[in-house]
Amino acid sequence: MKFGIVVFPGSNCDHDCYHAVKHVMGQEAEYVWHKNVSLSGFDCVILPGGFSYGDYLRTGAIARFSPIMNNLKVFVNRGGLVIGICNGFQILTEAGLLPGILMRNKNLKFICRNVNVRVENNQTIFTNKYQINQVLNIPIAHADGNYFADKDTIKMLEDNNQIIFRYSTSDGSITEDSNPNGSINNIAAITNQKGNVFGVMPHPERVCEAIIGGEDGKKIFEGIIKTVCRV
Amino acid sequence: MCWLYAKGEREEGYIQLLALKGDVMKAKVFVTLKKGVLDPQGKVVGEALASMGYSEVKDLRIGKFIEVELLASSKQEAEKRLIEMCEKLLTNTVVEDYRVEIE
Repeated sequence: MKFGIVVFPGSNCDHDCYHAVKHVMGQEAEYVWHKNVSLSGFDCVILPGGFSYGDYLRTGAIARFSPIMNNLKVFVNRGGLVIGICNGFQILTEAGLLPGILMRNKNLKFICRNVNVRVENNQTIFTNKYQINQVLNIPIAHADGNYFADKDTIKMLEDNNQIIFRYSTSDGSITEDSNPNGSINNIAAITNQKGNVFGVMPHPERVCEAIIGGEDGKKIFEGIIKTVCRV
Repeated sequence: MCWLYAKGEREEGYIQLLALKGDVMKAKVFVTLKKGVLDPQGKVVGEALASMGYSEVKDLRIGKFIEVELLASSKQEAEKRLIEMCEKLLTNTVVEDYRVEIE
């Protein structure tokens, strides 16, 4: 299958994503410059982490108007798979492809460390290789990861099982202490209603190889490959 | 009244000339967090003021102030266009409110 990794001015996790899908997972991968208007030939598009447009105005606020984003909307409507990691997740919320908003971390600091997340839903394309309630150890690196949405939206996400990862302790308890950024209900990752768009604040592409710290992120890509290649 | 010609590119690749006319108007946009949205930055700044001796401060919330100069044929048109800009880019209406003032 073919992954497309969108590169905005200021994206800086594009190379890690490319390495994960091409060298670790052995799939075809291409960088897609944000001014391109074609996504034909791609099975899954990755919006990588970084600081697109310097996070000016609001994180992801300007990237959502990049030329590629019109085509991304068409791609999503056609059922194409999209994974937005960190800044990618922020761009997806600003673009309205995912509900809610990622605000400044509650403690106002940029947090760069490993956290534990619990798998809340393993029936999605992105998480079908995990066990339900499995605890993953994945790094975060963000100042604006505080997920917020109004009461009705949160209820909808909960009722529809659109919450995919929650920050947790290492033994899988959802506590305030285990929440690094103040996200409502410890939300760390969600999907859209259709289940083809996945927004995740932690960086799974950084934990696909044991030699650099862990492999807990690998199964996200395995799940995508399994679905697309039907293996 | 002044005329301004601007170039725009369409996706199909040809150049389109846009003619804008009107007067230069100055506008102020105030962007604030909606009531009920947590403002940790405002809280910390309020606490800092209290520790400096300004214990009379009961609440403090931080927003954004944007100054815009734009061409418009009337104040009404300027306000209408600015509201569109606020809804589309300048604010995130999930958590922010805005107020537009045309001078």
